[in-house]
Amino acid sequence: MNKQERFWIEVSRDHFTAYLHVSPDAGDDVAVKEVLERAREMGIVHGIKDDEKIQSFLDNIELYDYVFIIASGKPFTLGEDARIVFNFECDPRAVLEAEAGPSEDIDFRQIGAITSVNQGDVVAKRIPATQGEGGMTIFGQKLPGEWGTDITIEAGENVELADDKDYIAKIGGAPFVSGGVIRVDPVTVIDGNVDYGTGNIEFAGTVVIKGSIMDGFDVRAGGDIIVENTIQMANVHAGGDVVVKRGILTRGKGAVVSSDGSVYARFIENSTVEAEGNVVVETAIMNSDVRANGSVVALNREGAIIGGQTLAFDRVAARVLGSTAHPKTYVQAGYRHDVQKKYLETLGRLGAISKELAKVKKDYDHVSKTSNDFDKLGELRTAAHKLLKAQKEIQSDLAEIGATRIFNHLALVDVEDVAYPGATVLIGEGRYIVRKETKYASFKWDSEAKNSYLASFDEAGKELRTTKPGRGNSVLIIDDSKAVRKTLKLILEKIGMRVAGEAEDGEEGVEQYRQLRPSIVTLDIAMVRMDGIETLREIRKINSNAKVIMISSIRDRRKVLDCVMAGSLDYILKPFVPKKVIATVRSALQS
Amino acid sequence: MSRENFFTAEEIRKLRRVTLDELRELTGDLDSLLRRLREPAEAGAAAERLGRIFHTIGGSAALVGFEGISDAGCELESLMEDSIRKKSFDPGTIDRIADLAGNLKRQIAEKETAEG
Repeated sequence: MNKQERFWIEVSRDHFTAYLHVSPDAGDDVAVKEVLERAREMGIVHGIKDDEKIQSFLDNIELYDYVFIIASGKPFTLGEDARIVFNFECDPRAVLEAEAGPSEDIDFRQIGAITSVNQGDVVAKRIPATQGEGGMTIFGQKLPGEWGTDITIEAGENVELADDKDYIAKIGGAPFVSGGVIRVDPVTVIDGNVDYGTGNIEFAGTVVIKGSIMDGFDVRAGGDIIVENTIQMANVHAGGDVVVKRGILTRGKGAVVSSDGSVYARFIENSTVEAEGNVVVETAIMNSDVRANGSVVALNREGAIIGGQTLAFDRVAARVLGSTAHPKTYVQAGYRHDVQKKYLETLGRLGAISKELAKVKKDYDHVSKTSNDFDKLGELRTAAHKLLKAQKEIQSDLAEIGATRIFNHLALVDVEDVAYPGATVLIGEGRYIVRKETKYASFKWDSEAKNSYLASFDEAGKELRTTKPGRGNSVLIIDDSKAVRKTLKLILEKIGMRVAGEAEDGEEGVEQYRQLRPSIVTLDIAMVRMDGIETLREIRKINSNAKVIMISSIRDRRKVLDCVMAGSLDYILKPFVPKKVIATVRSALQS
Repeated sequence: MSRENFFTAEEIRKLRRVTLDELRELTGDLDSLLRRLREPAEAGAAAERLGRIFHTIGGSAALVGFEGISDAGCELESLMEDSIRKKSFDPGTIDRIADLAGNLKRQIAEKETAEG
């Protein structure tokens, strides 16, 4: 386009919008006919505004700020995603699995509800994805509609999939969805406690216990174990999930509650709990040994991990870590608990052998310097030889286990409210000792420094800041409202980001971007002189990979799509809450 | 994580102070702009400026919990947008805008008093 001209037409990169720019000097000089002729020359054939609208713009170019959308394409639409419709009341655990992890929105009253189906019933149906409506660019190019995302769940035990859509029960029993698999378990119900009246329980399907599992008893099930009351000092193992409507209190006497799925409980106290999946608790985990190859989560309102040790492969998340009494609370993330247990046990054995070997060597030195008793020396040499052989074998075992001891670099420990002194957080081999009350703490792994670090909102103390300062955490705030700039600045600084600069209009913002090159920009859509979309375009001319988050009033939300098409990464609607800002910025930094 | 849980009381007080300063600054020219709204030659530019002011008031007031002021700002912004779209600034509408703007200024003054 030649800006010396009286008018020119600019086409968006995606060919969906054509903007008519009129030079302020053009005055009343531009005619609709000319504009349409120019559009035709450019090949614009679809979505052109009618003459009246164009004329209205030409008559009031000042009001429109000299720019007018003269043609709009028809965007293609996204079809419906495939979905699974369950013909039974789904336990909230199914929702948690679908969302790839537990959250704080669990209603524990609903977990563990049992429904039943008959043989031959269709327990679920798969509704396939559809294709959206086609679109057209302003140049007349047709674009096909996009297909929705496909989804499927596996037909598990006692379920068959017919015609790629109907999940049919092969037996009568209770349907469950867990880990992306739908199955039907035969169910046995114990009316009351597992005690001397029932004896130990072993069952291939799902066991529902209307009372508690009392001291000294064992329950093993191939499916889920659902307990309406508590688990006392009992050994419990489920091939599916363990769901305990009240608490687990094995009181640390060698009893273990374990599952090949996940464990859900209102609370866990003085107990050992192991899960191949997640451990999810409504209130607190206290003085317990809890291990999960997924996540350990205590995020409901009273969620806390106090005392004991907690290990997860993916994530440990709690509202509170430790307490005001500063009990020793160990939390580790990044290793599978079964592998870590074997590793630590083997390490322990190696340590014991090494200690014994050191003692034998010391005795040998002492005897050879004092009595020089050959028989005694002979015995000590034989003992040392055996210990050395055992030491070599254990070292070899350790190397083998080490090869399977995969460290999850993305593991983290999140504390939503406060971590108290007395808590120690380990991510991989990195250790962080909490020395003062720390709010909104997130412990992560720094792959470069090969150590864990804390990203915290607490401004007290330098060591609480993220150890990764610099451009990766800098932000430029562009907004014509001082109050909005100030609020955003406060939020972002609290999560350890550096506000590189602030600008109150688009032109200033572009100039600051050019100089500062922050990694994130927050940009108001509605500004004078140069609006958000224009500013976004100018910034992307400087850096096509610029990460820009649009800040939009809810009244301007229709402009958000324009912004996304113009290249913004994400958006935040005003009035915003800190959580939304933090989540959006973090997501943008990681993208 | 609501604003109240995230910010300390002192921080909320400071943010409200900054917002009230901004609101006062934004509404400083209201009377003059409303007068220009009644002049056909200047109505367009005045309306544009007023629309921007009310838009900013609506957004920044809501951030610090001044819902009443935010609602008033949004209502005035809507009125301005309608008038701009229709290119009509009839006396009745201008009077209504003036009344609502006066009410808005009163609410801001009350908040300033309340916040100290």
